[in-house]
Amino acid sequence: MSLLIVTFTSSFCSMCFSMIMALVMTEFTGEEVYTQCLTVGPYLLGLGIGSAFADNIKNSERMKRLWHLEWASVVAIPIFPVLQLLAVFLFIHLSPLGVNLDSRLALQVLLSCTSVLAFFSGILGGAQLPLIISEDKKHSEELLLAINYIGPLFAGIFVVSLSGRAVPVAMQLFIVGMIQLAGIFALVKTLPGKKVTTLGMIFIPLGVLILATHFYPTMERYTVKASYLRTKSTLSELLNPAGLLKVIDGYGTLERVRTTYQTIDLLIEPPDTSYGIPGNATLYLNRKPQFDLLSADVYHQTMVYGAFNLLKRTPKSVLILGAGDGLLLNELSPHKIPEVLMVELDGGMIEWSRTNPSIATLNRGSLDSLPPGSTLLIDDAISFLRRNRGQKRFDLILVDLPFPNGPDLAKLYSQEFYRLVRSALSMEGLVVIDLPLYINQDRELSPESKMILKTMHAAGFPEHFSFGPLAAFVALSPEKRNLAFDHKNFPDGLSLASYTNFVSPFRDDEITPEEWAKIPVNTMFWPKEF
Amino acid sequence: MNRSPLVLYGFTFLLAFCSLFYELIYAQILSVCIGGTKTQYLTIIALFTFALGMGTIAFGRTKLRYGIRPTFFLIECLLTILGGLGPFLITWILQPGNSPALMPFKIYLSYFIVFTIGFLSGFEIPCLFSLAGEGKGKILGMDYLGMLAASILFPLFFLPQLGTAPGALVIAACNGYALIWLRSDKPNTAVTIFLFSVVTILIAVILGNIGELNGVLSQLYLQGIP
Repeated sequence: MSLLIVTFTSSFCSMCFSMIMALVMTEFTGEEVYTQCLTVGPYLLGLGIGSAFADNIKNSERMKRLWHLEWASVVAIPIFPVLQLLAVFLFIHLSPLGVNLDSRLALQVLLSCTSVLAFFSGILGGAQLPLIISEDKKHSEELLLAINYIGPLFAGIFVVSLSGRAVPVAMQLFIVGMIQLAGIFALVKTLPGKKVTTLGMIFIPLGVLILATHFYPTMERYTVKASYLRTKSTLSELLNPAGLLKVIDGYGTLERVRTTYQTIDLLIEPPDTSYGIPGNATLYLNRKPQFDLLSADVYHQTMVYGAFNLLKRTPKSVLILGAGDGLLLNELSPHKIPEVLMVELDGGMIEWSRTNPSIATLNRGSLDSLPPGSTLLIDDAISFLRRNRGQKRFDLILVDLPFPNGPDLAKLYSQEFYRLVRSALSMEGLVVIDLPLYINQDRELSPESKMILKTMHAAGFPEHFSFGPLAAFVALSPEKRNLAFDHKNFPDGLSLASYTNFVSPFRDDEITPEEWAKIPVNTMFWPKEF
Repeated sequence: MNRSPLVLYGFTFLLAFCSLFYELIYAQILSVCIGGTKTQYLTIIALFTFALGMGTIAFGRTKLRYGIRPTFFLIECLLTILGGLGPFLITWILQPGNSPALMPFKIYLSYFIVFTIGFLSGFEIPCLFSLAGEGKGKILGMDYLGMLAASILFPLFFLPQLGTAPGALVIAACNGYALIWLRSDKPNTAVTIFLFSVVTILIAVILGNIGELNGVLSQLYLQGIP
């Protein structure tokens, strides 16, 4: 029975740790598919090499080696997520100026570190099963294999449910570590020799586990904050971390909330009274900047008033996809639009935006008491549009969704998604999407921007109009209309920066027909790299 | 079946590669159709390994009734068919339709397909153990290596270059190669060469129609929305 327990706890905990490592690194790379695959892959490689290695262990030493491997697993693996954070922290500080966590270099370096750690955890886990199979004479090979496979099922359910409930990583590590300690405890019973000494050895992994889970949240806070502030340092400064951490502490506070779908960070920077610089707060979703207090007006006014101006009227019905901070809803509320439907996936984001003092001030409590005619639907935008199937059509659709910062989010920039959006749009209607197409003021289109444009056109939007040098948007119409701003019709009372933003300094005639034909279209079932 | 250990290890690698590859494709399709990439990937990997365990237990009874080689052949036939057609089946099942209340059942049905692939794959290692006789650690090692190759090549090559539908069909065809290898003790016979050629032509046809095959999934997904 003891070896059955060890088989289960070993496979369960090993897979849990691998999944937690993938989750930790996904936060910093923003690349879910790559990170999951390049963590699970090396982990499986480690399992394979560990299994092959186990064949070479002498029969007389197998139980002893099994104990060593199990003990080493619980001592070493809970530290791995802390080491991942350390790798991120060091990368932020030692990488050259201009290189940040969004760069390809960061992806390669950080995923390499994670792969190496996952590989070692795989070796420790993989060598155990063949040893158990050869030592356990009571149970069949099939039963042991089956239990070894069932462990990861529970691991998946366990990690998904804990992450879904926004349980902190440190707590997840602690729970999994304690389960593995229980497995070690069961293993001690089967070992020959002095059990008291062996039992005493359990206190070492217990101590390591407590230390790892204690330091993880602090390490995480400093790493995330350093990634936003883009602090840099020399090796000698890193060797004296107290000074560096004091500097990071001095740049305000970080509020961090995890919801089922995302991590919300609000970095609050204090005012600098000596230079008269006002305080600010920047909102990040899954570490991607959204807006700050000083520029929130420009973004939302440009989106709403730019759309009204291009439509040449106030729409009768508006669909908002995303925008869980409530600022777009607030911007629309003075216009008494008969029907506004906001579809936001993340109920946690809505709740936080309702209660956070900084954001609630900005959205003027629009999420607390919805403006007349407005409805809030907590749902996935794609699921909503698929169910709608063109039954309900809107005059204006405002799309405020995360940028395609990885294959995962690329589906929100796919041909299928734009077709679904088009199916919910009236023929006289307009879509405005938060999307910086141009990478600089020289009107250069990046390959990704060209692909998004081609995808939009392939989805049935023959015309696009991009605007906003400060906060960039793209307007799409389902038919050719020669979209352009009528500057006489912008209302008074908008911020000066917003007026500056109602320009379209870009031209799209730089793409030749030959080049256009070669540009790929991004689809959900054949996603392209962004 | 007299096979050299090296060939057996290669065979193990290929089968493990195919099995995990199907699951990764299904995770991608489920994340498109239902949403929640992280949840889908973790759920699918967990469900797959659980199903592997159930398949391993079921193997104990099945081998007594039918023998190892016919069982193995049947398993690979089912895996080839289900693995290749699975993406189309799941996308079709997960159409929202007019009854939202049915959606949970549709999701369970999709997970059942995932489970079935894992369950059938669970027969493979015990079958290979029986064929190998000894060196089980190395068989397990190649199994894990095959899964490693799938988990790396899927995001880096197959998904961006082929997409989901052609990816699944190409891998099903590779599973077909294994099937041909399994059915014959004399790999040089004319029938075997003919079958190998047919599968190779099939792969060429799939590779020549990547956009169209992915387009079929798009059409199923959009349910006629132009």
